[in-house]
Formats: sequence, C-alpha cells, structure tokens
Amino acid sequence: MAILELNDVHSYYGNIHALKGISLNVEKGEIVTLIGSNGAGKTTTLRTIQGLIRPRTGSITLEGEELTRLPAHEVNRRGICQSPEGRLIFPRMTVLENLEMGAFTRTDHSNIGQDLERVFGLFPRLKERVKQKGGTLSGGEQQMLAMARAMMGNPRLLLLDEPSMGLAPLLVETIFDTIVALNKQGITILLVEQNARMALSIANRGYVLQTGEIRLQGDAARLRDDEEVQKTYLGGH
Amino acid sequence: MTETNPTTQRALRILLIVAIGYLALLIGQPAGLDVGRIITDVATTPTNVLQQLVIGLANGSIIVIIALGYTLVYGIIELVNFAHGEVFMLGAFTSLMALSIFTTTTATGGLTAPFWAALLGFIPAMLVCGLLNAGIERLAYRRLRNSPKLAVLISAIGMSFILQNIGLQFGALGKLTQVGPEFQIFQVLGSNNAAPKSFPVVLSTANLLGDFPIRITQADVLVMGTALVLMLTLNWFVQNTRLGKAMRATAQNRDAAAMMGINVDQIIALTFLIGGALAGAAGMMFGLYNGTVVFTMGFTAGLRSFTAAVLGGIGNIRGAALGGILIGLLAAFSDQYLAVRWTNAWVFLILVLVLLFRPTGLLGQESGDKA
Ligand SMILES: Nc1ncnc2c1ncn2[C@@H]1O[C@H](COP(=O)(O)OP(=O)(O)O)[C@@H](O)[C@H]1O
Ligand SMILES: [Mg+2]
Repeated sequence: MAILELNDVHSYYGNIHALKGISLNVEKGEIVTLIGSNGAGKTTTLRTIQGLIRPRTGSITLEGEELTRLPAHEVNRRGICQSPEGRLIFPRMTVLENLEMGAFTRTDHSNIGQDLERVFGLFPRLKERVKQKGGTLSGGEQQMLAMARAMMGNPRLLLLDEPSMGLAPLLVETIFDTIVALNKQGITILLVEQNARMALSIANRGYVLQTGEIRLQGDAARLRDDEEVQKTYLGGH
Repeated sequence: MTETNPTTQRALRILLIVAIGYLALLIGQPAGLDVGRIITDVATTPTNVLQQLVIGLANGSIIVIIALGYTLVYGIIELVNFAHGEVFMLGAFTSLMALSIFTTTTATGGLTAPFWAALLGFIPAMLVCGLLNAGIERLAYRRLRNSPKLAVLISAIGMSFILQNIGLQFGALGKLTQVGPEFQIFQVLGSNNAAPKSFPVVLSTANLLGDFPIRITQADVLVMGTALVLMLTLNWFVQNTRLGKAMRATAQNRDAAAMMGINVDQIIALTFLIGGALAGAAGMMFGLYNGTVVFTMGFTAGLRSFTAAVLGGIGNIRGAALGGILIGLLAAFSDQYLAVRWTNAWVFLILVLVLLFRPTGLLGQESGDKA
C-alpha cells in the first residue's frame, strides 16, 4: 500500500482554484518529486497534504488512514513532517530550540538525543551553531535547519518544499546529497523542486504539475528524456 | 530623501529637538509644565521626589502586569486587545467581591478584611479574568483570525464597550442588599451603579520606615513584590516549559508551529488565559493599592499599559516591564509636578511620539530577529 495517496484533490484560495484534481501516490522508501514552474501549485499541494489548507473535495490518506480533514498539528502527529517553502524557522529561538520544536510531539524521548546526533552528522554546520539564534543564520544554514527540524519529528513521510531555493550551486549539491543520504536511511520523501534537473536525477518517480493539474507522471529517468519536459523544464537540448 | 552630509543632518536634528523643547515649554504651560514652579517645589521638599519615585514604582508595577497581557496577545496574533483594560476592570470588581465575603464593618463604620483574604482573593480574580479573556478570544477573535486586521480590531473595541457596560450594570447588584440579608456580600457595591466602590481596608497604612520623611507602606511592598513574582514566573514559564516554548514558537511563526504538531488554537487560547489572569491579579493589586474601583478605570489603565507595552517594544516581555515602570514614574511625577488632569494627555503624547519616531519601542523585538 502506498504511504501517501492523494485522490482527485481540489484546493482553493477564496475563489482561486489552485489545485484542480491532483491524484498522486508515494510508496514506502521512494523519493518522489513534484516539479513545475512558479505558480503551478506545488506548495499548495504540500500545504494541503500537511493540513494547512483544507481541500474542498478529494481525499488524502496516509497508509490507508484518512487525513483529509485533519488540522496541521494532527497531520504532524501522524508522521508527516515538512521543510516548508521559505524555511519558516523560528528566528528568535536557538538552533537547538528549533530542533527541539521539531520533536515537540514525540513520546519516545529516549530516541530524541540519538536523532539529534544523526542530524548533526548530516549537518555539521548546525552543530557548530547550536546556541545561535535561528534568525542570525545564513540562508543555506536556515535551509539545513528547516530540514533538520523536520527530521527531528522522525517522519514516516518527509515533505521538502524547494530546499535548493536561493542557494549557491555548491550548497545545492550538498543539500541534494543529504536528501539522498536521508533516503538511504529509509526515509520516504516527497520533494518539490523548480530545479527539475537535479530533482529528477535523484528521484525514483516524478509528477509534472501545471496550473494546478498533473500534466505528466512516471519514472524519473523517463521524464528526464521526455521531449516536453526537456523543452519546458530542463532548458531544451 | 535628499542627500545631506552628516554634520548638516546632525545640526538639523539638534535644531528640531530645541524647537520641540521650546514648543513644549510654551504649550505645556496649561498642562502643568511650569518650570519655575516645579523648581521651587523640588527645592522646598526634595524628599518628595523620592516619594514620587516609590509611588511611581508601585503604580508602574501594576501597569507592567497589565501591559504583559497586551504584549503577550500582540506577540502571538498581532492584535491590540482593546478589551484588555476592561478585563482588568472586571478583575478589580471580582477581587472586590471575593474580598467582600470576608469583609466586616469596623466600629467607625469603615469596611475591613483580613490580609489572608486579600491573598486568597487573587485566585478567583485571576481565574475569572483568565477564563473571561480566553472566552473573548473564542467568541470575538478566533473566527476573524484570517480576516483583515481592522475587523478584529473593531471586534475588540466592541468587546471593550460590552465589558465596560457589564462593569456598570454589575454595580447595580448593590441594590440587592435591600432585598434581604442573604445578599449582604453585595454591600460593598453601594447603592449607585456608576459610583466608585471602596475596597475594604486590608493593609496598614503605617509607614514601614517609621518617622522617615518617605513613606513606604505594606501596600507598596505587596504590589511591587507581587509584580516581581508574577513577572519572574511568567518569564520562567515562557522560557523553560513545554507550553511556554509552544507559545514562543506560535508567536514567531504560526504555520511552522502547526507543522511541529502544536495545536495553535489551544496555544492562542492559553495566551489569552495567561494575559487575562495577569489582568485579574492587577485588578486586585490596584484595589489594594488605590482603595477604590470604578467601572471606567479600564480606560485609563488600558491607555497607560498599552503605551507602556508600545514604549518598551510591543510583543517583548522585558519591554513591557521597562515601559510599565517608566510610565508609572511618568504618571507619578506628572501627578505631582505637572497637573493630575493632564497626566493622561502626557501619557498619550508619549504614545504618539513613540509610534511616530520609534514604533519598535525602546527594546524592539527580542534580539536575534533579523530574519
Ligand atoms: N495565499 C494565497 N492566496 C491566493 N492565491 C495564492 C496564494 N498562494 C498561492 N496562490 C496561487 O495559487 C497558485 C499556486 O501557487 P503555489 O502553490 O504557491 O505554486 P508553486 O509552489 O508551484 O510555485 C498560484 O497561482 C498562486 O498565485
Ligand atoms: Mg512554491
């Protein structure tokens, strides 16, 4: 059974019909990427899954359990953690406090220390800055913090919204390497990206979103070779 | 902005300050700013300056506790809770009722209550006001949370009118004493709804310093001590407890907090509960310190406390403490050396000046908010 399944999900901002029937699924252990140009509805999809936006119709299930009408904090408690667009770290909390907030609802307190060491292993920079306030970090460090904070929730499904946005190319490489490393540790990932080339190079499967609809879907390798994807999202050639 | 070199800018700024100072001296006359008289006053009884310091610190302590309610709520939902002053007023009424159960009439006809009753009275005052404030949020603000800010603000102003009228009508319960002795506890409300109600005498008015020319009474000590305890407890709670951290997280980013599994609605309700409880405590402090309560008192207290919160940096707990003390001192010195009638105007002037020239207040947001 798929970990995450969306079936004909429609979401609105007031009268703006932002998601027009999204159906997708993520299997356990996969990296699935959602690509598409600016304004396609990628963030809206993740926010709808998270419960920050209530879909008007359609259903969302996590390993068969209905999530559709649950508020965001309940969705988090069922194991979906997110590194959101714009990072949304807590600027006046220290790096350590930010990470603690990531583990806010966990009841297995004995494992939290171990997970802290794990994210410090993935992001050594954060360990050097544990006492620093989140708001004083550089953009790249904030991105690492947002991902690490989501990891601290010990997610069954990790949602990443444009983790490469606004970062220097070298840092983008690091971030993508980390995503692969996370996946190797057994974490299922739904990755939203505008950087389609990078995303398709690490993903198992992909969905191409256009103005609130799924335009194409399939194996990452196949999408990479698709003429339309090449022309529109990979800058042709 | 036109290009000017730093020296010219500096000169212009000094000129501006001199001009404002001159205007203040000129226009300030009717508002009590009579420098000559003030100098004479200070010279004849210099100890009075220290006395005003004590009064200012005590009144400032009460302002701090109310200001914390403004700042907590603003910090978490960016709403100036205009009803907060009225919650404080109802807190003072609740305190009065709590005390009235233990109130006895003295031989000279005055009302008195034992000290332990006053301490016990903090509990119902804080409980009632905490629940009231959380109820206001549930009823009047929650459903408007995603509406334009103005809608919530107007809802808050409406709430403040309603509460003030409840305060006015509550006074009418005093008439029940004519019905029978079982309503004796309403005796403290007197027979006129709108009239100020006297708090029973709880604390000795003797000078703790004996014959020293500066008076420090039990009330001064109680008010300042209570404020300190409440402030330190709040600070500890917000910094160290799980719920306190959830409050801070929600204040800093509501969506992110929800993604962390924090029930944002609950945390906002908790914030109103705490702010209201503090207003209730301040109501008791005010009654014990000033001796009378009246249904209009929420306005003045609200104005001063809101100004205190803005002066310190709204949303900032330490700022509320600093601003509250400063406004308390300003009010005390204005009452003594300027003119009682104009004290609110001076406070309002501070509010306007801060909003114009330094809207983030003296301390601004808590440090580290560069994101
Ligand atoms: N808060 C909002 N209010 C109104 N419209 C929005 C809001 N957020 C996004 N939209 C619209 O919804 C569509 C999808 O946006 P979004 O999901 O952010 O796209 P993406 O993440 O793919 O760039 C866009 O047309 C955008 O203008
Ligand atoms: Mg987006």
